[in-house]
Amino acid sequence: MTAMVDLAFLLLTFFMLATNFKAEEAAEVETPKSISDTVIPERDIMMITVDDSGRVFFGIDNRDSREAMIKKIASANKWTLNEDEVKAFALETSFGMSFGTLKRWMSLPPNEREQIPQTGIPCDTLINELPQWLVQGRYAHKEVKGTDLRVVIKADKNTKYPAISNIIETFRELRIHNFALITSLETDPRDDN
Amino acid sequence: MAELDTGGGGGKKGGKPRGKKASTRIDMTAMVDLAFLLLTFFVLTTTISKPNVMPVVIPPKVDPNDKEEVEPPKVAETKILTLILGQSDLIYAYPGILDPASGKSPEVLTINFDPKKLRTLIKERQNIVKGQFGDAKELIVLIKPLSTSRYNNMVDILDEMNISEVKKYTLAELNDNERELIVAQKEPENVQDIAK
Repeated sequence: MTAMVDLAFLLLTFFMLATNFKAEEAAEVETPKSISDTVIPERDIMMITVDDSGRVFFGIDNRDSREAMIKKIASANKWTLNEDEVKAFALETSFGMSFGTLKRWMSLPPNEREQIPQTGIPCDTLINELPQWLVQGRYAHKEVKGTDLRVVIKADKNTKYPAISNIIETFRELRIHNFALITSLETDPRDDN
Repeated sequence: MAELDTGGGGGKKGGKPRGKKASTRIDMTAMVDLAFLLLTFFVLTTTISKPNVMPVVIPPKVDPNDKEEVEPPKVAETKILTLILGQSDLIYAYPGILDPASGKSPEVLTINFDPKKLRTLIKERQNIVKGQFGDAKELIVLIKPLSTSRYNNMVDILDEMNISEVKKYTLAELNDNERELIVAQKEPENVQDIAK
Protein backbone atom coordinates (compact mmCIF):
# COMPACT_ATOMS: atom_id res chain seq x y z
CA MET A 1 0.00 0.00 0.00
CA THR A 2 2.75 2.42 0.85
CA ALA A 3 4.28 1.70 -2.53
CA MET A 4 1.10 2.84 -4.22
CA VAL A 5 1.04 6.00 -2.16
CA ASP A 6 4.65 6.69 -3.12
CA LEU A 7 3.80 6.26 -6.79
CA ALA A 8 0.79 8.54 -6.46
CA PHE A 9 2.90 11.31 -4.98
CA LEU A 10 5.54 10.85 -7.62
CA LEU A 11 3.03 11.22 -10.43
CA LEU A 12 1.49 14.19 -8.67
CA THR A 13 4.79 15.98 -8.39
CA PHE A 14 5.54 15.27 -12.02
CA PHE A 15 2.31 16.78 -13.26
CA MET A 16 2.59 19.75 -10.95
CA LEU A 17 5.95 20.53 -12.44
CA ALA A 18 5.01 19.64 -16.01
CA THR A 19 2.16 22.14 -16.11
CA ASN A 20 4.45 24.98 -15.18
CA PHE A 21 6.18 25.02 -18.54
CA LYS A 22 3.68 27.59 -19.86
CA ALA A 23 5.40 30.97 -19.97
CA GLU A 24 4.53 33.76 -17.60
CA GLU A 25 2.19 36.06 -19.46
CA ALA A 26 2.49 39.77 -19.35
CA ALA A 27 -1.25 40.32 -19.21
CA GLU A 28 -4.34 38.33 -18.37
CA VAL A 29 -6.51 37.85 -21.42
CA GLU A 30 -9.82 36.07 -21.79
CA THR A 31 -10.21 35.11 -25.43
CA PRO A 32 -13.59 35.01 -27.15
CA LYS A 33 -15.19 31.70 -28.07
CA SER A 34 -15.45 30.27 -31.54
CA ILE A 35 -16.25 26.97 -33.15
CA SER A 36 -12.86 26.90 -34.86
CA ASP A 37 -11.00 23.78 -33.86
CA THR A 38 -7.69 24.31 -35.64
CA VAL A 39 -5.06 23.82 -32.98
CA ILE A 40 -2.37 26.42 -32.39
CA PRO A 41 0.94 25.38 -33.93
CA GLU A 42 3.54 24.30 -31.38
CA ARG A 43 6.29 26.67 -32.37
CA ASP A 44 7.29 29.43 -34.76
CA ILE A 45 4.57 31.79 -33.65
CA MET A 46 4.68 35.53 -33.25
CA MET A 47 2.03 36.43 -30.73
CA ILE A 48 0.45 39.85 -30.38
CA THR A 49 -1.48 40.01 -27.13
CA VAL A 50 -4.02 42.76 -26.49
CA ASP A 51 -5.65 43.19 -23.12
CA ASP A 52 -9.04 44.74 -22.54
CA SER A 53 -7.66 48.25 -22.08
CA GLY A 54 -5.98 48.09 -25.48
CA ARG A 55 -2.37 47.57 -24.37
CA VAL A 56 -0.41 45.73 -27.02
CA PHE A 57 2.19 43.09 -26.11
CA PHE A 58 4.49 41.32 -28.49
CA GLY A 59 6.37 38.07 -28.25
CA ILE A 60 8.10 35.30 -30.16
CA ASP A 61 8.33 31.86 -28.62
CA ASN A 62 11.96 31.22 -29.50
CA ARG A 63 14.63 32.67 -27.25
CA ASP A 64 17.41 32.85 -29.82
CA SER A 65 15.08 34.64 -32.20
CA ARG A 66 14.30 37.16 -29.50
CA GLU A 67 18.00 37.80 -28.99
CA ALA A 68 18.58 38.27 -32.69
CA MET A 69 15.51 40.51 -32.90
CA ILE A 70 16.60 42.89 -30.13
CA LYS A 71 20.04 43.19 -31.70
CA LYS A 72 18.45 44.16 -35.01
CA ILE A 73 16.14 46.65 -33.33
CA ALA A 74 19.10 48.12 -31.49
CA SER A 75 21.09 48.63 -34.66
CA ALA A 76 18.06 50.02 -36.53
CA ASN A 77 17.47 52.59 -33.78
CA LYS A 78 21.13 53.24 -33.12
CA TRP A 79 21.21 51.98 -29.55
CA THR A 80 24.18 50.30 -27.96
CA LEU A 81 23.34 47.28 -25.85
CA ASN A 82 25.66 45.15 -23.78
CA GLU A 83 25.37 41.38 -23.38
CA ASP A 84 23.44 41.54 -20.10
CA GLU A 85 20.76 43.77 -21.55
CA VAL A 86 20.34 41.51 -24.56
CA LYS A 87 20.07 38.44 -22.32
CA ALA A 88 17.60 40.19 -20.04
CA PHE A 89 15.38 41.02 -22.97
CA ALA A 90 15.61 37.54 -24.45
CA LEU A 91 14.31 36.03 -21.21
CA GLU A 92 10.89 37.65 -21.52
CA THR A 93 8.56 35.71 -23.78
CA SER A 94 6.30 38.71 -24.21
CA PHE A 95 6.64 42.40 -23.48
CA GLY A 96 4.74 45.62 -23.98
CA MET A 97 6.80 48.76 -23.84
CA SER A 98 7.61 51.63 -26.13
CA PHE A 99 11.17 51.92 -27.37
CA GLY A 100 12.06 54.55 -24.81
CA THR A 101 10.67 52.60 -21.88
CA LEU A 102 12.29 49.43 -23.14
CA LYS A 103 15.70 50.99 -23.31
CA ARG A 104 15.33 52.16 -19.74
CA TRP A 105 13.99 48.80 -18.65
CA MET A 106 16.98 46.96 -20.04
CA SER A 107 19.48 49.23 -18.35
CA LEU A 108 18.00 48.71 -14.89
CA PRO A 109 19.19 46.00 -12.52
CA PRO A 110 16.84 42.98 -12.35
CA ASN A 111 15.09 43.83 -9.10
CA GLU A 112 14.15 47.30 -10.30
CA ARG A 113 12.71 46.11 -13.59
CA GLU A 114 9.35 45.15 -12.09
CA GLN A 115 8.84 48.76 -11.11
CA ILE A 116 8.39 49.89 -14.68
CA PRO A 117 4.76 49.54 -15.74
CA GLN A 118 4.26 47.90 -19.09
CA THR A 119 1.96 50.28 -20.90
CA GLY A 120 2.01 48.41 -24.16
CA ILE A 121 3.64 49.00 -27.52
CA PRO A 122 2.25 52.17 -29.07
CA CYS A 123 0.13 51.16 -32.04
CA ASP A 124 -2.08 54.00 -33.16
CA THR A 125 -2.26 56.55 -35.93
CA LEU A 126 0.20 58.90 -34.20
CA ILE A 127 2.96 56.52 -33.17
CA ASN A 128 3.17 52.99 -34.39
CA GLU A 129 6.15 50.96 -33.25
CA LEU A 130 4.62 47.60 -34.09
CA PRO A 131 5.83 47.41 -37.70
CA GLN A 132 9.48 47.49 -36.61
CA TRP A 133 8.95 44.62 -34.18
CA LEU A 134 7.05 42.58 -36.77
CA VAL A 135 9.62 43.08 -39.48
CA GLN A 136 12.73 42.56 -37.35
CA GLY A 137 11.11 39.62 -35.63
CA ARG A 138 10.50 37.91 -38.96
CA TYR A 139 14.04 38.50 -40.19
CA ALA A 140 15.57 37.41 -36.90
CA HIS A 141 13.60 34.18 -36.80
CA LYS A 142 14.40 33.44 -40.44
CA GLU A 143 18.09 33.86 -39.66
CA VAL A 144 18.02 31.76 -36.52
CA LYS A 145 15.70 28.96 -37.54
CA GLY A 146 15.18 29.33 -41.24
CA THR A 147 11.39 29.10 -41.01
CA ASP A 148 8.66 31.67 -41.29
CA LEU A 149 6.72 32.86 -38.31
CA ARG A 150 2.97 32.61 -38.12
CA VAL A 151 1.31 35.76 -36.86
CA VAL A 152 -1.31 35.30 -34.21
CA ILE A 153 -3.48 37.76 -32.27
CA LYS A 154 -4.60 36.95 -28.76
CA ALA A 155 -7.01 39.60 -27.59
CA ASP A 156 -9.44 39.90 -24.74
CA LYS A 157 -13.10 39.57 -25.65
CA ASN A 158 -13.81 43.04 -24.24
CA THR A 159 -11.08 44.86 -26.12
CA LYS A 160 -12.58 47.74 -28.04
CA TYR A 161 -12.44 47.27 -31.79
CA PRO A 162 -10.15 50.27 -32.65
CA ALA A 163 -7.16 48.59 -30.96
CA ILE A 164 -7.65 45.48 -33.11
CA SER A 165 -8.36 47.56 -36.19
CA ASN A 166 -5.01 49.36 -35.78
CA ILE A 167 -3.20 46.05 -35.60
CA ILE A 168 -4.98 44.70 -38.68
CA GLU A 169 -4.18 47.90 -40.59
CA THR A 170 -0.55 47.50 -39.56
CA PHE A 171 -0.62 44.00 -41.03
CA ARG A 172 -2.15 45.30 -44.22
CA GLU A 173 0.59 47.91 -44.59
CA LEU A 174 3.21 45.21 -44.12
CA ARG A 175 1.33 42.96 -46.55
CA ILE A 176 0.65 40.30 -43.96
CA HIS A 177 -2.68 38.97 -45.20
CA ASN A 178 -2.81 35.66 -43.39
CA PHE A 179 -2.99 35.52 -39.64
CA ALA A 180 -5.00 33.84 -36.93
CA LEU A 181 -7.00 34.79 -33.86
CA ILE A 182 -6.76 32.77 -30.69
CA THR A 183 -10.13 31.62 -29.42
CA SER A 184 -11.53 29.20 -26.88
CA LEU A 185 -13.45 26.27 -28.21
CA GLU A 186 -17.22 26.20 -28.12
CA THR A 187 -19.48 23.53 -29.49
CA ASP A 188 -20.62 23.90 -33.08
CA PRO A 189 -24.38 24.54 -33.07
CA ARG A 190 -24.65 22.56 -36.29
CA ASP A 191 -23.66 19.42 -34.36
CA ASP A 192 -26.83 19.61 -32.31
CA ASN A 193 -29.08 18.66 -35.22
CA MET B 1 -6.01 0.34 4.41
CA ALA B 2 -2.38 1.30 4.80
CA GLU B 3 -1.40 2.24 8.24
CA LEU B 4 1.58 3.65 9.93
CA ASP B 5 2.50 1.93 13.11
CA THR B 6 4.55 4.22 15.28
CA GLY B 7 5.17 3.12 18.71
CA GLY B 8 3.72 -0.33 19.19
CA GLY B 9 7.01 -1.77 17.90
CA GLY B 10 9.09 -0.22 20.63
CA GLY B 11 7.61 -2.52 23.14
CA LYS B 12 8.75 -5.64 21.33
CA LYS B 13 12.49 -5.28 21.68
CA GLY B 14 13.16 -7.66 24.47
CA GLY B 15 15.31 -7.26 27.50
CA LYS B 16 15.61 -3.68 28.35
CA PRO B 17 12.85 -2.27 30.37
CA ARG B 18 10.95 0.30 28.34
CA GLY B 19 8.34 2.75 29.39
CA LYS B 20 4.83 2.06 28.15
CA LYS B 21 4.20 3.84 24.83
CA ALA B 22 0.73 4.26 23.54
CA SER B 23 0.61 2.70 20.06
CA THR B 24 -0.64 5.17 17.50
CA ARG B 25 -2.07 3.92 14.27
CA ILE B 26 -2.60 6.47 11.50
CA ASP B 27 -5.15 5.62 8.89
CA MET B 28 -3.83 7.00 5.59
CA THR B 29 -6.96 6.54 3.48
CA ALA B 30 -7.84 10.22 3.50
CA MET B 31 -4.38 11.32 2.45
CA VAL B 32 -4.29 8.86 -0.41
CA ASP B 33 -7.72 10.01 -1.56
CA LEU B 34 -6.52 13.59 -1.60
CA ALA B 35 -3.39 12.64 -3.48
CA PHE B 36 -5.40 10.91 -6.20
CA LEU B 37 -7.80 13.83 -6.42
CA LEU B 38 -4.98 16.30 -6.95
CA LEU B 39 -3.37 13.95 -9.42
CA THR B 40 -6.56 13.64 -11.47
CA PHE B 41 -6.93 17.40 -11.39
CA PHE B 42 -3.49 18.05 -12.80
CA VAL B 43 -3.78 15.32 -15.40
CA LEU B 44 -7.00 16.86 -16.70
CA THR B 45 -5.92 20.50 -16.62
CA THR B 46 -2.98 19.92 -18.92
CA THR B 47 -5.30 18.83 -21.71
CA ILE B 48 -7.71 21.75 -21.43
CA SER B 49 -5.21 24.57 -21.84
CA LYS B 50 -4.51 24.15 -25.56
CA PRO B 51 -5.87 27.26 -27.25
CA ASN B 52 -7.51 27.09 -30.65
CA VAL B 53 -6.95 29.44 -33.53
CA MET B 54 -9.29 30.91 -36.08
CA PRO B 55 -7.56 31.75 -39.35
CA VAL B 56 -8.32 35.13 -40.89
CA VAL B 57 -7.53 36.41 -44.36
CA ILE B 58 -7.72 40.12 -45.12
CA PRO B 59 -7.85 41.71 -48.55
CA PRO B 60 -4.81 43.68 -49.65
CA LYS B 61 -4.66 47.40 -49.15
CA VAL B 62 -6.63 49.56 -51.52
CA ASP B 63 -4.32 51.89 -53.41
CA PRO B 64 -5.08 55.41 -52.11
CA ASN B 65 -4.79 56.81 -55.62
CA ASP B 66 -7.71 54.66 -56.58
CA LYS B 67 -10.76 56.53 -55.38
CA GLU B 68 -13.30 53.74 -55.71
CA GLU B 69 -15.43 52.49 -52.85
CA VAL B 70 -14.39 49.36 -50.99
CA GLU B 71 -17.39 47.42 -52.33
CA PRO B 72 -16.62 45.87 -55.72
CA PRO B 73 -18.49 48.13 -58.13
CA LYS B 74 -19.89 45.60 -60.57
CA VAL B 75 -21.77 43.38 -58.14
CA ALA B 76 -25.53 43.02 -58.17
CA GLU B 77 -26.90 44.90 -55.17
CA THR B 78 -29.19 42.18 -53.96
CA LYS B 79 -26.22 39.91 -53.34
CA ILE B 80 -24.90 42.20 -50.62
CA LEU B 81 -25.77 42.10 -46.96
CA THR B 82 -24.13 44.66 -44.68
CA LEU B 83 -23.69 44.05 -40.97
CA ILE B 84 -22.61 47.02 -38.92
CA LEU B 85 -21.43 46.04 -35.44
CA GLY B 86 -22.28 48.62 -32.83
CA GLN B 87 -22.09 49.05 -29.09
CA SER B 88 -23.73 46.77 -26.55
CA ASP B 89 -23.54 43.83 -28.96
CA LEU B 90 -25.99 45.33 -31.44
CA ILE B 91 -25.92 44.76 -35.17
CA TYR B 92 -27.46 47.05 -37.75
CA ALA B 93 -28.17 44.97 -40.81
CA TYR B 94 -29.43 45.95 -44.23
CA PRO B 95 -29.43 44.32 -47.65
CA GLY B 96 -28.20 45.97 -50.78
CA ILE B 97 -26.75 49.43 -51.03
CA LEU B 98 -27.60 52.44 -48.94
CA ASP B 99 -27.85 55.56 -51.06
CA PRO B 100 -30.47 58.11 -49.90
CA ALA B 101 -29.55 60.44 -52.75
CA SER B 102 -30.75 58.04 -55.41
CA GLY B 103 -33.71 56.98 -53.34
CA LYS B 104 -32.46 53.57 -52.34
CA SER B 105 -33.18 53.08 -48.67
CA PRO B 106 -33.45 49.45 -47.69
CA GLU B 107 -34.91 48.58 -44.35
CA VAL B 108 -32.37 48.59 -41.57
CA LEU B 109 -32.86 45.87 -39.02
CA THR B 110 -31.42 46.23 -35.54
CA ILE B 111 -30.63 42.85 -34.06
CA ASN B 112 -28.28 41.28 -31.59
CA PHE B 113 -26.18 38.14 -31.67
CA ASP B 114 -29.05 35.84 -30.72
CA PRO B 115 -28.85 32.96 -33.21
CA LYS B 116 -32.60 33.05 -33.70
CA LYS B 117 -32.22 36.55 -35.09
CA LEU B 118 -28.80 36.67 -36.69
CA ARG B 119 -28.70 33.20 -38.13
CA THR B 120 -32.27 33.42 -39.44
CA LEU B 121 -31.49 36.74 -41.08
CA ILE B 122 -28.47 35.30 -42.84
CA LYS B 123 -30.43 32.21 -43.85
CA GLU B 124 -33.23 34.38 -45.28
CA ARG B 125 -30.75 36.37 -47.27
CA GLN B 126 -29.08 33.21 -48.53
CA ASN B 127 -32.45 31.88 -49.68
CA ILE B 128 -33.24 35.10 -51.51
CA VAL B 129 -29.87 35.05 -53.23
CA LYS B 130 -30.34 31.40 -54.08
CA GLY B 131 -33.73 32.15 -55.61
CA GLN B 132 -32.35 34.99 -57.72
CA PHE B 133 -28.94 33.71 -58.66
CA GLY B 134 -29.20 29.97 -58.19
CA ASP B 135 -26.54 29.59 -55.50
CA ALA B 136 -26.67 30.60 -51.86
CA LYS B 137 -22.91 30.96 -51.90
CA GLU B 138 -23.25 34.10 -54.01
CA LEU B 139 -24.19 36.06 -50.91
CA ILE B 140 -21.61 38.68 -50.02
CA VAL B 141 -21.51 39.90 -46.45
CA LEU B 142 -19.79 43.16 -45.58
CA ILE B 143 -18.82 43.37 -41.93
CA LYS B 144 -18.25 46.86 -40.62
CA PRO B 145 -17.36 47.06 -36.95
CA LEU B 146 -17.77 50.45 -35.29
CA SER B 147 -15.23 51.75 -32.84
CA THR B 148 -17.71 51.18 -30.03
CA SER B 149 -17.94 47.46 -30.67
CA ARG B 150 -15.96 44.81 -28.82
CA TYR B 151 -13.45 42.37 -30.27
CA ASN B 152 -15.81 39.61 -29.16
CA ASN B 153 -18.41 40.94 -31.63
CA MET B 154 -15.97 40.69 -34.50
CA VAL B 155 -14.97 37.13 -33.60
CA ASP B 156 -18.63 36.11 -33.19
CA ILE B 157 -19.48 37.46 -36.63
CA LEU B 158 -16.54 35.69 -38.26
CA ASP B 159 -17.61 32.56 -36.43
CA GLU B 160 -21.16 33.03 -37.70
CA MET B 161 -19.81 33.21 -41.24
CA ASN B 162 -18.28 29.79 -40.71
CA ILE B 163 -21.39 28.34 -39.09
CA SER B 164 -23.75 29.68 -41.77
CA GLU B 165 -21.29 28.71 -44.50
CA VAL B 166 -21.06 32.16 -46.00
CA LYS B 167 -18.13 31.96 -48.36
CA LYS B 168 -17.80 35.58 -49.41
CA TYR B 169 -17.35 38.06 -46.63
CA THR B 170 -14.98 40.83 -45.76
CA LEU B 171 -14.18 43.37 -43.09
CA ALA B 172 -14.73 46.83 -44.47
CA GLU B 173 -14.95 50.51 -43.55
CA LEU B 174 -18.14 52.51 -43.12
CA ASN B 175 -19.05 54.75 -46.00
CA ASP B 176 -20.53 58.23 -45.56
CA ASN B 177 -24.15 57.21 -46.03
CA GLU B 178 -23.82 54.65 -43.32
CA ARG B 179 -22.24 57.16 -41.00
CA GLU B 180 -25.35 59.32 -41.12
CA LEU B 181 -27.49 56.27 -40.59
CA ILE B 182 -25.56 55.30 -37.51
CA VAL B 183 -25.84 58.74 -35.97
CA ALA B 184 -29.58 58.50 -36.40
CA GLN B 185 -29.76 55.00 -34.95
CA LYS B 186 -27.54 55.39 -31.95
CA GLU B 187 -29.95 55.04 -29.11
CA PRO B 188 -30.27 52.70 -26.28
CA GLU B 189 -34.00 52.70 -26.63
CA ASN B 190 -33.49 50.19 -29.41
CA VAL B 191 -31.98 47.81 -26.91
CA GLN B 192 -35.29 47.23 -25.14
CA ASP B 193 -37.02 46.40 -28.42
CA ILE B 194 -34.63 43.74 -29.54
CA ALA B 195 -33.89 42.31 -26.13
CA LYS B 196 -37.22 40.45 -26.21
